[in-house]
Formats: sequence, C-alpha cells, structure tokens
Amino acid sequence: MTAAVIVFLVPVVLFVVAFLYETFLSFRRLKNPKAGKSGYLSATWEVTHTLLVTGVVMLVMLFTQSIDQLAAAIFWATFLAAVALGVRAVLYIYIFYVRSTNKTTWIDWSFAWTHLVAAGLLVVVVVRALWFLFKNNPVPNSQFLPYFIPGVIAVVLICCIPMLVLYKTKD
Amino acid sequence: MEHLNASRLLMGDSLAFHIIFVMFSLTLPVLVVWFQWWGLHKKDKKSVDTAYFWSKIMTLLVITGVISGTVIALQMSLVWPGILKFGGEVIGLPFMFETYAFLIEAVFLALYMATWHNPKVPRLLHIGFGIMVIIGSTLSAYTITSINGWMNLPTGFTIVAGKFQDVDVWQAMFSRTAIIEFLHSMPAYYLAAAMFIASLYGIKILRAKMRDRVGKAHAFDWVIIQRLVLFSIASMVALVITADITGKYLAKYEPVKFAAIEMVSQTNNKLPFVFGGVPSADGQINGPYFVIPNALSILVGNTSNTVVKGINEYPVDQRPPTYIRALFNIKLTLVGVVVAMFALYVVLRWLKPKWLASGVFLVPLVIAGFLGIVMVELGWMLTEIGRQPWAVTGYVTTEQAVTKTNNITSFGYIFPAAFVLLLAVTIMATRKIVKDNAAKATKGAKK
Repeated sequence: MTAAVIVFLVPVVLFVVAFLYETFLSFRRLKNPKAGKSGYLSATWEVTHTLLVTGVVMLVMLFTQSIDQLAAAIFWATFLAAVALGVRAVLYIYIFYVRSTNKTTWIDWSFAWTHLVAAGLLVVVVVRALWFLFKNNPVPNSQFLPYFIPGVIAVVLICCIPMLVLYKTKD
Repeated sequence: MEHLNASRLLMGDSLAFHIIFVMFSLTLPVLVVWFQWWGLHKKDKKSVDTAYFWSKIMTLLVITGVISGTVIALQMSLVWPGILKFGGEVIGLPFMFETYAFLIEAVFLALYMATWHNPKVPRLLHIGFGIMVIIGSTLSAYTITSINGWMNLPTGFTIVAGKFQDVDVWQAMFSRTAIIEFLHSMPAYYLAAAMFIASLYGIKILRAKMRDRVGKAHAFDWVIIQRLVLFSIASMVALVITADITGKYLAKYEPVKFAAIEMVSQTNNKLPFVFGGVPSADGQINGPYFVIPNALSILVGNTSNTVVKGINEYPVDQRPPTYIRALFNIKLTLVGVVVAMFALYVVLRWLKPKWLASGVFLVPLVIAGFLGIVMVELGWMLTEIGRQPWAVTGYVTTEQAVTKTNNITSFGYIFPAAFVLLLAVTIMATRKIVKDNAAKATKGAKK
C-alpha cells in the first residue's frame, strides 16, 4: 500500500513543483507583457502535463478494485480541474499563438488565475484521494510494479541523455 | 438527457474531437522528419523550411491533443469505472506504458523544437530527436489501441469462481485484436492527415490566378502535393490490405459486429457482398443496393463455401444498433470516392499535368482531401458502436460500466462547448502560423 501511494505521489509532487513554477511565471509576465513567448514556458509545457497524466493513471490503475468509490470521491474536483486546464489551454494558445498585442488584458489575468484554480482543485483531488486510501486501505494492483519501475528508469535515462547533450551544446 | 446516453455522448464527442489531433500528432512527425531528411540529403532548402514550418504547427496540434487526451484519460476512469474495476488488473499495463510513450514524445518534441537552429547539434542528431517523437507517438497510439482491442475481445485471463486466474498482462497488451486494430488504424491516420494537408496546399494554389497556378510561385507547392499524394497512396494500399485482414478477423472473432455491419441476417455460406441498403426489422433490406454473389463468403474465407455467422445467432439485446450499417455504407462510399480521386490525380499527372491546375479538377481533389478525416471518424464509430451493448465484450455492459454515483449530464454540455472553443482557437493559431510563414517567405523572396 505504501509503495503504491509513493508511486502515485512521486509524479504528482513533480507536477506540483513544475506547475507552481508555471503559475509563478504566469503572474510574473503580467508585469512584463512585452517579453512575449519568452516570458512563459513553451516546450516544457507538455512535459508538465505528462506528469499529471502519469499521476492520474497511477492512482486509478493501482486501485482498480475500488475505482468506483475512488472515482466518486474525486469526481467533481477532477472534472472541474480538467475544465480549468482546458480553459488555460485555450488562453495559452490565444495569447502565445494568435494575439499580436503585447498589452496585459483581462485575458492574461484569466490565464494566470486558471493556474491557481486548477492547482487548487488538483490539491483537493490529491487530498481526497489520499483520505480515501488511508480510510479504506484498498488492496493495490501491485503486479504491474515489477514491469513499471524498471521501465521508469529506462525511460528517464532515454530522456535524460539527450537533454545532457543539449545542455552541453547549448548556444 | 438520460444519464447513460449523456455519458455516451460525452465520451463520443471527446473521442471524435481528440482523434482529429491524434491523426496529425502521428502523421506530422513522420512528414516533418521525411521532409527534413530529404532536404538535407538533396541539399534542398525548401524541403527543410517546409519541415520547420510544419513542425511549428505540429507542436500546436500536440498541445491541443494533450488537453483532449488528458480529458479522455480522466473520463475512462471517472465516467466508466466499471471497465477498470473489472479488467484493471489485466489491462492496466498499457495504461501505465502509455505514460512512458507520452513522456518520450513530449521530451523529444521539446528537444526537437529547441534545437532546430542550434548549430552545435548535428543535423543527424536533430533528425534522431524527430525519430524519437515518431516512436513516442506511435507507442502511445499502440498502447491506447491495445486497451480498445482488449475491450473488443478481452484476453489474457481465465475466470474461476468469479475471480481472475492465470492473468497474462502481456497477452492482454499484445493481443491479436490489438495488433490488427493498430495496423489498420495507423495507415488510416497517415492517409487522412496527408490528404488534408495536400488539400490545404490545393486551396493555396486555387486562390492564385489560373496562369500563376502552374508558374514558379507555386512550383514547390506542387512538389509537396505530389509527395503527399504518394504518401497517401502508399497508406491507402496498406489500409486496403489491413481492411481485408480486419474483415476476416471480425468474421471469426467478433461475428456479431461483422454480421451487423455486413447485414448477415442468417448464418449461411455462399453469402453475397451487399453494397448499400439498411436492414429492416423483419430482416429485409431497405433502400437502394446491389449485390455481388458469393463475394462476402469469399472475402471472409477465400472460398464461397465459407460459413458466416448471422445476427440471428445472438439475442436481440446483445446486438449492436442497426444504424451501424448506414455508417458502413457511408464509409465505403467515401473510400470509393477517395480511390477514384487518386486514380484521377495519377492519370492527369501522367497525361495532362496542366489540367490539374484547373478548378474543374482541383476543386473535387481538394474536397476529397478532407474525406479522410470523416473516414477515420466513421471507422472508430463502427468499432465502438459495433461493440454495443458491451463496454468489455461478454463481461461488462456499457450500462454496468458507467458511474452510478455522479451525474454526468452537466459535463455532457460543458466539454463539447470547451472542445469547440479549443478547436476554434487552434484553427486561428494555425492560420496565424501560416500567415507569418507566408509573410516571411515573401520577405525572403524580396531580398
């Protein structure tokens, strides 16, 4: 059970760190709208989402026997967080791909606030999930972990090596 | 709206929306790497510039696809918990592996885009990053398709006294169904996306005056169309071969779906292939149709003596809705139109290439280019609706799988609205990238 919770929490914690940084940038750029795309993250944006998806997948796959009750516990907060992330994506594309102006408008403020709303709702999801797990102590599907954990190490290595090459050769 | 249908609608329109971005997320990396490699190999700057231009659109579409994909991942577990409650311990592995594929795709896409103009990164290494994007997105497609394949025909376990025994997660992930579905859907995505992009270049040419359409200004646009059509024809050939394999597979392993699609009312041999028509309640055929005698039996088993199971073998409440036949008719018609347009293109290109530039031929070719997306959507509708009333064939009905504790109706309205908004802003952003690219090209030409 503890190992399963750790497997769920690791990507979530990494996501929280990355997302907090994005939230910080989204508010910081309100003061300096002329920075344009360089005032916010571009390419790493999707990597952050990967961590969120990993966290959700770990949670539901490890506890499939209790998934109906678990889903009920996190349902509203998760769906509302998905709506907030969807709105954030729409605003992101609009601000960085469509709009030509560099002035701060209500759209930029909305973009920044969607970070906070999504983060708040995701915190509710994690707290409710953890509360459910500790209260009900469900049996996890640990049979996947022997395949999953070596896989994580391999994938992290695959992803890290070119990143190191990139770092060494950066302009 | 009733709870179950609202959930079906929510899942249906989420998938219909997401699949559009899946097509491009899978195809654009292949096209981008191909054009970049070609450009470097032949020292053709225009090909490299095109690859760079497409890669910017690819990033945008991947961002949109990530959002719609995240929503679908949430829906699978929150709206349909019955599927995972039943089979999570068998089919959980591809879900987990999908996150690896997703990570590889995301990291290498970031690297690929960040190093486009970095002189210290060798170009072959840069192409290598692009190839990793292809590998990541393709693995991601496989894992998700394998879950769908398992829902269509669950394997990798036995049930003794209501409990799983002999669980084989690898068999579940690499089932025959999964492999066949994957091999059939991949060329369909390639075909749809490549045709769509070729059509956009066709529109660009159509907007010019007739005398300019075959001039120097559009010479490279024709080269792009030519390459994309070749890519599409190769995909179409793969699609036809895998369609035949899929048909044979369905007749043997998912016979009720096959019988509903092909209107096989009674089990028999020497069955004809019927084109057109929809089944009536009394087993007759309504509407216009024509038949090719014995052809269905021959297609299924290579001989007219092949017995094909009819829908009469299944209880009424375990049959898919009859309207999937209409969907199949539309799909088959579209396939015919697309094949005819390919033939027209090849003949004109060979005999009268200048005629291709006239509106009479170019307009229908451009319209046909958009049909691939409709064909993919119809293909997935046939797969999903053809499995009904089951969510996991033979074990969990859709009604059993849907959440019992939460009302989904309000989300049934919110998410489609959000998807429309996301699509609108994505189209606007794509137009902006295209305009900026055109402006840059004009500026470059003036210099």
